[in-house]
Amino acid sequence: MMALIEWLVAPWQWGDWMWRGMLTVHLVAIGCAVLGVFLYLRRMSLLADALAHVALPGIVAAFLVSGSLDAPIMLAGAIVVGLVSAISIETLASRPNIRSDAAIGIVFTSFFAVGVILLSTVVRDAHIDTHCLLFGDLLGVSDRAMFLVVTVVPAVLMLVVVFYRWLAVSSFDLRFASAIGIPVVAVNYGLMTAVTVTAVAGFEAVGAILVIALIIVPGATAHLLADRLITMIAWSVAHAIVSSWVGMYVAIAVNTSAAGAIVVVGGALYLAAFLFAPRHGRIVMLLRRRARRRHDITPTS
Amino acid sequence: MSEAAVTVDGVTLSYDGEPVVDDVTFSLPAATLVGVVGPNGAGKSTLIKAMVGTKKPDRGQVLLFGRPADNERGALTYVPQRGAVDWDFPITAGEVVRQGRFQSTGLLGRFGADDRKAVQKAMESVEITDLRHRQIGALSGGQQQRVFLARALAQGGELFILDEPFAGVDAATESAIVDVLRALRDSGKTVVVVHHDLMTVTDYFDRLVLLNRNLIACGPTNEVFNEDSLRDTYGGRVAIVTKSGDDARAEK
Repeated sequence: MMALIEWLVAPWQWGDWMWRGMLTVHLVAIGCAVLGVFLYLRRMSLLADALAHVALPGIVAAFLVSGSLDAPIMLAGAIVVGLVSAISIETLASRPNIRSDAAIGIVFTSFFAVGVILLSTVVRDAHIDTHCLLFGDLLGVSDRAMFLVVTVVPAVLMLVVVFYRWLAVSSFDLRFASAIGIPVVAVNYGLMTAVTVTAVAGFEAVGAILVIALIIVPGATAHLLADRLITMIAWSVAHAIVSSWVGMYVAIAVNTSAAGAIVVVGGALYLAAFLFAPRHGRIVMLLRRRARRRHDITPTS
Repeated sequence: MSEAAVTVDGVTLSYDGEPVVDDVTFSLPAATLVGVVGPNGAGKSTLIKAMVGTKKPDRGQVLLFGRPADNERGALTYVPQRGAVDWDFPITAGEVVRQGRFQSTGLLGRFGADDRKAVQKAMESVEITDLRHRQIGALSGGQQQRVFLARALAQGGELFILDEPFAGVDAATESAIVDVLRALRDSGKTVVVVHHDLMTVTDYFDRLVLLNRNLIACGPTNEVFNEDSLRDTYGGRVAIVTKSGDDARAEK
């Protein structure tokens, strides 16, 4: 027992990277988890994937225009390119002969590819670490990355609280929402902007690829467990905290990518919910089915 | 009350340049129960969208109580088709009904005692009070429709617009809904219902709007519900219309 506590406490004494990493990943994961609930319910999870990828060309474009990689400029670039891609996707998808999943796939891969090319040619000397952008570096969080996360995530969460009713009603029943005067288009783009900003903020810490998992998996897990929106958000945040915490220790124990470990833990939590959820889980469903069959066979008089 | 509750004035609505509602004009007096009837694809739901304000007419305008529809949103209560929402959504029946109050509470306004009372009353009038903690996907089709009607009642308003409220509900729910709609009419509200079942038209509605891209007829049910107007509406597919009107059906 003592050994376990010692093992848990030890990393915190090895330098300030531990608390920096922990703080950053928890904030990013919680921000993503809350937004992820709304994306999941709006069937827009794939769009999170797109927006996270599009942030890369956004950052590169911002660097090309301004020659700097200051946090606000990075954010601005990502927001602009994120919104342009979101609008392109919506415009494409609203055509009757183009499927929306294909529209998402076409737009974000094209944008991302342009970003990759720019990164390896025009802005090669910009000191943008591709590996870090894609996979993050949680055990060595820079001041800039921490600053971004600490300012952006609380602001995004605050906006979710303020606009909660609009988000909830328009996610559930779009036509009713616009009939009672909720500006549903603005809410939609506001949500996409929030996702882009959060993805950019989480970039340096967890990387462009894994931030997607932090957005999608907690909401998907929570949906298996919750019957109300507020409890779904609570489960989603709980998923984010548990997978961040456990993932960090796993990463330290086996000396691997922290973001990778966190996402693996998150996936395992999803599997657990999928199997054992009290109402929608597979095991309960199988038991229920067996009970019904037995009930059918047993003669009742 | 000479003021019409709804005035549709020369309205044309189209999708991708293809008109689905073409130059339609009619008006509906207040405190009536009105059915909007026509075949599939006749533009009923599209016309409703223009009244509710979710679709802009290419030409013409919709007036509610004599004023442009956009200014009168507060007076209008809309019940969309039941199929329009995600039944897996994590929300309880009671929470759906609460949404009816969000127009008056606004984004951050307190959900006060008045709001709670309105919600409670609405749930009682369609008898769903004991279902309020159930997730909506766990309810039957009829119960779901009652929940959405309760949300409309909690919202209040002078004009109620319902898009096919009887689709896929059981007989008990249908008659419960009709009772609620009649009570609304009797208390001076205007109720507009998109409806499919010709058998019940004469029983339910004071007035009818017969629509098939163009306006076929609009007026008191006993005047406009006849073989000629039905043939015009359904394009000769109406098989039987008896004089009593209670055995009318449209056949494909």
